[in-house]
This record gives sequence, structure tokens and C-alpha cells, in this order.
Amino acid sequence: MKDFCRSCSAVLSRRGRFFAVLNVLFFVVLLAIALVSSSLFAPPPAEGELVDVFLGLFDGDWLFMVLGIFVFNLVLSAFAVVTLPGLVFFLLSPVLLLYRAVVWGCLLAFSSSGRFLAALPIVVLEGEAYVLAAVAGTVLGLGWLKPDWVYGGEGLSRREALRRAFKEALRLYVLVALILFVAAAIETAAVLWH
Amino acid sequence: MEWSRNQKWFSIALLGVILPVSLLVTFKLTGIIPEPLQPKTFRADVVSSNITRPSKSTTYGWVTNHYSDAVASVELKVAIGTYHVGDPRYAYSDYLNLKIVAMANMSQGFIQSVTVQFLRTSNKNSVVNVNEDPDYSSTECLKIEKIYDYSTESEAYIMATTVGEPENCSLTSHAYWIFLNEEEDIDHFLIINFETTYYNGTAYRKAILPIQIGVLKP
Repeated sequence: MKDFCRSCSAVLSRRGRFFAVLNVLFFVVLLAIALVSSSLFAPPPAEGELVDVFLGLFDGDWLFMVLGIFVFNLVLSAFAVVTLPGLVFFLLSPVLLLYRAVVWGCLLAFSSSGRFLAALPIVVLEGEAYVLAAVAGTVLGLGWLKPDWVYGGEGLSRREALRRAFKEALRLYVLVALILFVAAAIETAAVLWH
Repeated sequence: MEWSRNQKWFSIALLGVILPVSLLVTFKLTGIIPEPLQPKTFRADVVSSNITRPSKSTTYGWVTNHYSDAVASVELKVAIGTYHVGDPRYAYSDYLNLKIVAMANMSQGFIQSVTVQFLRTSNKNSVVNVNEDPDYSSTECLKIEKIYDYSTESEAYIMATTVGEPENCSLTSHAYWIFLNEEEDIDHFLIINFETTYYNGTAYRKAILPIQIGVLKP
């Protein structure tokens, strides 16, 4: 267990530069879009609460809500939307990550202060998780397309590079899952408390 | 060296979160990124229509409420249709057919969203079942976002947003007001609210048109 945790953090260290760059890009784009959209468009009328939608969907069962949000974010939002396209072509992961930053920037710009502050910890945690998912997707894509870019100097074949990239992605996804679980718990608490 | 390089990238990653998020919070709280506006709300007077609970199936007529200002004209028409006695589809409960026709027109600006709410004001011994069959409803320049119905604990509603930024929109729908109590010695009241949120060129406004229908004990 200890060795596995060490290997997870070792993978993150190895991809530290790329992670840092994507992290900065994601949050800077989010801020920029929030500023631009608030200056270009008139603020919409204050909306009704989305809380009722969540409560209705999960029938107020907090455990089911945590698990439901966690599974949805992990499988669909992180893996299917961010990581998997990167396996097809490595640039798709960062592009889809930044598209998410654009969408979130627009949503945050037009939300009330109360809702914005309640959503902020969830935005930061989920943002970090999706950045890690994008790192995983990019490594997977480069693993078969340009193995020298990720494992330069090791002389790996495409197959070996892809296998190693899968192992790296798996370790990154342990961190993604942990962060998304915490985010789901906070989101559930925010919805139920509200 | 390895550790200090890792520290450097970790610090950059951390700053990449802290700086933009701090700026975002500052801009939001200082109003540089403005708050969504609470639209000024205008509530029209309630138009009421009462019927006495019949002993056999009976058909009634229309009730209308209307609101207008310098740029907007909003109308709610409710047809109190047939009162059905002891219908087997609803466990031999009585029910009242309602047809809702809601329209909004602007001479300037656009309509943003509409909601039709069914509020039971007297007791919870009835439910409202909104017909979701597309053959029994129609919309113009609207997209139905949600229909919520058939619960003793919550009020029913239809929520719709406009397609594009139209100057005109309309919604026609059918609902069934089902009376769950077998005794006939209580009165039932239902308020149907038509809420329209619109932009008049300078600000958002909300107009609420209520129609109250009463089914009184014989």
C-alpha cells in the first residue's frame, strides 16, 4: 500500500512540469472567461435554486448522492470527456480541459455571490482532478503516438510505451478518484445544508 | 536537485490555483463581476372562479387574467373543463380537467422564461397531474425544461425557457386536478400562477398572473 502510494506521487512528480502548466492554464482561462463574459453580456436574472434538482434526483439520500456525484464525475466528466479523447489524440485532453474552464468561467460569472462561494471549493477540487485526468489522457495519447516525448532515451517500443502509459494513468486516476470523492462529499454537504 | 525541481513545479501549480481563484473571489465580492439581478416583480390581482362539486360529470368555461405594461402583455386563460365523478383511472376519485393557455408578447426586449405553477392553498387532499403527452400540449418559441407533478407533498409546475430571445411565446397544456378524499364535505382551492420573466431593454422584470379555482362542497 505504501509502495503504491509512493508510486502514485512519483508519477505526479515525473509529470510535474506538465501538470503545473495545465493547472495554471485551466484556472487562468477560467478567470479570464469569467471577466470577459461578465463585461460582454448583461447579467441574467437571478435564477431559482438547482438544489431542488439534486434533492429530487437523489431523493435526499446523502450517501447515494455522494456516490452518484462521485461516479458521474469520475466516469463521465473525467474519464469519458477528458482522458479518453486524449488516448485517441493527445492534444484533445488539454483542449477539452480548457473548454471546461471556459464553460465554468461563464457559469461562475453569472452566479450569485452566495452560490459562487459555496461552489468555489468544489470548483477548485474538481478542477484539480480534471487537470490530472488531462495529464493522464495526454500521456496515454503520446504513449502510442510519440513515445520518445514521454519516455525519451529509454528506447521503448510503442506497445511498451503504451503499457507504461496505462500504468501511469492508473496511478494518476487513484489521485483523481480521491479528489473527486472529497469534492462529491463537499458538494453533497453544500446541497443538503442549503 | 530533483526535490527542488519538484518543489518549483509544485509551487507554480499551487500559485496557478491560488492567484486566479483569489482574483476571482475579489472581483466577485467587489462587484467587478456583477451579481445577477433580482427582477422587479409585478403580481396581478387574483381572478377567482368557484364551482360547486357536482354529482355527475359537468363541463364549465374559461377564466382569464391579464397584465400589461409599456412593453409587455401577458395573459393566462384557464378552461375549467369537465368535472369527472369517480374515474377508474384515478382509483375512482373525482377529477377536474383543466386546460391552460398562457401567452406573452413584447413590443421591445425579449421573454426569458415562463413557469406555470399549480398551488393547492387549502389542503393536500388533492394532486395535480400535468399531462406530459405532446399531443395534449403545444408551445411557441418555448422549450419545456421540467414538468413536476403528481405528488401530495410538493406543488406541480411546468418550467420552460425561451428559444432564442423571442418577443412572443405561448404555452398550452392540460392538467388534471384529482380529489383524493372520498368525503365531499371540504372545499378545495387551487391557484394557477403564470410567471413570465422578460427583459424590457434596460432591466429584467417578472410578471405573475394568478387564477384561483375553487371546488366547493355541495
